[in-house]
Amino acid sequence: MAKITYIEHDGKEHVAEVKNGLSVMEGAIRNNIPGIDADCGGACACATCHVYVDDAWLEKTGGASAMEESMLDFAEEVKPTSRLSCQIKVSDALDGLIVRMPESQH
Amino acid sequence: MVALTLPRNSQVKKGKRWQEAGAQDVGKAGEHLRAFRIYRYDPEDAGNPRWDTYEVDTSKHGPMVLDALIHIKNTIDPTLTFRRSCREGVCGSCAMNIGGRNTLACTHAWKDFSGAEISISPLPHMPVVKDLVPDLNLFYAQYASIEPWLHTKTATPDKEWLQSPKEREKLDGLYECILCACCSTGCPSYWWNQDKYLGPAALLQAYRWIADSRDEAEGERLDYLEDPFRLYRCHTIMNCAQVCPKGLNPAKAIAETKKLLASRST
Repeated sequence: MAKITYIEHDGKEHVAEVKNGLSVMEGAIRNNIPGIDADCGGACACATCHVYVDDAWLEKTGGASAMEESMLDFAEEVKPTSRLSCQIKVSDALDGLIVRMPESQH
Repeated sequence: MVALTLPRNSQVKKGKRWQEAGAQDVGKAGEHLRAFRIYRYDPEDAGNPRWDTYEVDTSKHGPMVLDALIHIKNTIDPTLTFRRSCREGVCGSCAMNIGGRNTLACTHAWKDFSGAEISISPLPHMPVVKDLVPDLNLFYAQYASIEPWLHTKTATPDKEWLQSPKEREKLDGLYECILCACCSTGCPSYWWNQDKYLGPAALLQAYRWIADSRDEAEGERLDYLEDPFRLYRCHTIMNCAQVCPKGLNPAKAIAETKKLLASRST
């Protein structure tokens, strides 16, 4: 279980308890947190679950895979901290994780 | 496919098991018996949709899934409802979800599906009219909205509008679309936003007219598509290209359209 803080583009914060094994994207969808669309359902195929990982957490979430990198090419306003949240698996190590959502997912 | 919790009256219940007369003997012999698990829904019956299973002696019908469906309708259960027409992959009527994949029942052999049962359901994420018949009104309206006919401004020539073989070649991979809706109903973006997103089939056709050398309305056509939803809800998930029973690539046509829009705005 990990407590994850999702911050919308306008600064609105949502905190959710997410079970281990789920993805950060699923944590948002299951808790009705706006700002993450996840059109493809978590297949790393659409880049509509784009988030910016808080600097302090970059090391723990790790980097994007080659496939994720190439999907991120389709996202807008990609930064070095960009990740697709469907590809970040929740574990106890991510308790306290903070992610920010971009203005738009499309 | 994402499974959402359905309202109680839409939950699919276990249905009836039908056995073709004499199928049991075949079952002992083994090889010819095959079970087809088919989604059933009757709007005139207040009950929920259900999965009926038909045990069929496959030696009594042809090689395609459509042959099996026709055999079931003719000999086991005449109430089974589905669309079909040409039986050779040119009309697009018998598009349905077979073994988890959108395709045409007439061009897929039941032998190609492994497992004890072959599941058959209507095209996903569309309202169901009855059994395997989806409501495609919105799909057709979207096709109509891209105005799938030649738009010209110059005076009509005495004979036909001419086109060189090279110009004609540009329509290959576009004109073959049979509007079966396998691609659009296999597209997650279309599932969630079909009220606003045109979907791969309509967008492939939109590009077919943009790419036509005889058409003189490229600007207007692009204007119509330049919208965050109509066109740009395509996130290159590529399910469309994967399922197209005609081997076309709608995602590529969409990418070409996006390229034209990008080069127009610079």
